[in-house]
Amino acid sequence: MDFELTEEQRMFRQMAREFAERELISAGKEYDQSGEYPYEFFKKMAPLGLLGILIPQQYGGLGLGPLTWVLINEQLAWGSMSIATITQTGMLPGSIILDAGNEEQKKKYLPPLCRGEKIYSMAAAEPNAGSDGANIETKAASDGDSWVLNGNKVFVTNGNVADMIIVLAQTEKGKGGKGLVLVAVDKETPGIFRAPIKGETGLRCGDIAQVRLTDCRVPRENAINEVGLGLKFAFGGITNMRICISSQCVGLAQRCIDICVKYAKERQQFKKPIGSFQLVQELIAESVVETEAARWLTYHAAYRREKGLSVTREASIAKLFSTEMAVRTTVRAIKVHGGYGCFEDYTVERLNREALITLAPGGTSEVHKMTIGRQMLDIDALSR
Amino acid sequence: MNIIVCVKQVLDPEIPLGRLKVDPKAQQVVAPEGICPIINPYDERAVELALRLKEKQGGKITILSLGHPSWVAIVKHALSMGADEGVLIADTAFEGSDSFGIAHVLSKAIQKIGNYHLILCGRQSADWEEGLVGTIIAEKLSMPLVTLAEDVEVIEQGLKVKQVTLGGHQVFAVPVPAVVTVSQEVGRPRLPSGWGIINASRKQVPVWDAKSIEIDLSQVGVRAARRELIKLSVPDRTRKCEIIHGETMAKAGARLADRLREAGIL
Repeated sequence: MDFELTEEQRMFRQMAREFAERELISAGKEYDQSGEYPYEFFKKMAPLGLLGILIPQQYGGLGLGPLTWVLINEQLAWGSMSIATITQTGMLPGSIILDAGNEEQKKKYLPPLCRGEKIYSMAAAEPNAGSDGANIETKAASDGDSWVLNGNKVFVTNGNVADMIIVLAQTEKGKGGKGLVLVAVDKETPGIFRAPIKGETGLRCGDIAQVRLTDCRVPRENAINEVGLGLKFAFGGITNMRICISSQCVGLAQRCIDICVKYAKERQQFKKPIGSFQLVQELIAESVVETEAARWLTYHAAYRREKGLSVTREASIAKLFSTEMAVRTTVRAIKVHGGYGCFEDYTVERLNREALITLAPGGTSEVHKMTIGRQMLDIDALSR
Repeated sequence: MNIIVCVKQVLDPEIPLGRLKVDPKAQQVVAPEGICPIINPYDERAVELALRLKEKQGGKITILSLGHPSWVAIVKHALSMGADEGVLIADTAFEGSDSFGIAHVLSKAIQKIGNYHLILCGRQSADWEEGLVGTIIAEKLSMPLVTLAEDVEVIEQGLKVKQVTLGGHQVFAVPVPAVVTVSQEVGRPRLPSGWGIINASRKQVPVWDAKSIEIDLSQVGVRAARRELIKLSVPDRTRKCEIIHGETMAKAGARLADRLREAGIL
């Protein structure tokens, strides 16, 4: 088993790290404080190819695999979890269009995404259907050469700023997953109403929307692939995002460790650096062990995804462990900093808030435990 | 405008002093584990300047490096920034060469590459900081030299080179071919794009040995070195704190200036 990175992977990791050092370290704090959406980073990252990492070069992307994507993501999140999340979330609708879209849809939507000219989003969760994705209530009624959409969506990342939203909708009540379809809705379409959901503890510069669709009529050709395959392709994109979130949690945790090591060497108590105290070393050592474990779980999931192997279990394991690990690591980091760790002036305070918001997107930890349990026991704890 | 840029690999100058160790027998700095060496930051700025000239004038950029085979990584880094080709010179016969030996090897390689208008080097390296190689190359190849360049512009007669001085700048017009050493005032080097990295990783970097550049071995290696390293050590840094008092801030300031003069700092 060869664990060495290729030359190309090392170069991408290095480039992402330098970008994080130059641009994201200071910007992460500034944008968290201002709450402004970081539009400038779409312009900065597009020329480097960082907005279309998985998109083939013929559509303007880099055409790289998931493993290189996670290597890059880890470094971007090391710089700023928020900006990394916001700019890489486009890979969810992007990878859906890539996997499920026809050639016309790929040519229409992917190049502007890669150039940073357009922002896309995906709307799946609803007030009564979060983890219960197959039972969404938003309707897509077939009417001549159109689909007519009615329903409500919540927690739509980038929903207010998106130029196009891929909506997961039900074509026939009672059909569950077999009736679901993905439909691309452009922002100017009459009948789409968007409103921000404010007050998120982390990702303060991000954009989360609630979206209401009222008799929203879109051309039939806006359906992405066939009716009945909506959930399949949505889960494909969500699987990519689970791996992405895992890698970002690894980057965030590594940043915590780097900050704590520096602080523990400098901060003195009882005329000694606090890094000489056994229990401070224990806090840091535990974080190192868990971060390394999360790193390799994430790489393994990305590797399997890249090889086209089944990855549901591995993606769940990586996402479950990495997000919970990130929360634990940031809490330890706050402990290393003592009372100072609870103040905004200290980066670890923000990193803790950013870690907390990774727990739900891409599936809660509890859903992932049931996914893993189902695979092991052949008993579906989610079934009715 | 065809440009050759000479680059070398150095330890990251941001490594904290406390992590550096010296092997007293080998008289070498031992790199801390897990920290990768980098392209000499001044050479990286030379690459950046070359790319700006290419964007305006067209032409080809060739990266040239003398070192260990592992140094192909820094040549690839320069290629990923946008340079066209790279050559690495590696041979045990060159080990222990001083600036004269290094410049001799690079000059021979430059002659073999041929068809160039401009040779760019960083003003100095971030490790030894001697700042000699570019100057000696110019001497060996009988070319005009401008050091400490902040900018280079192509003009009808050749090049207009803006040199950094203590008080500001001075501007030179030089014919081509010429050697220019590049200072940090050129600005921050660009990051490689993803497409640049993909292209660079696919390129082959030929490795030339002593035989392939027909070098006179009496000019290179430790035996040809014109200076001898007597001792290499990590400086012993101690901290002292002296409080300067004064009846007013102005008097305290004057006493501080006197004290700094006494200590030989001012």
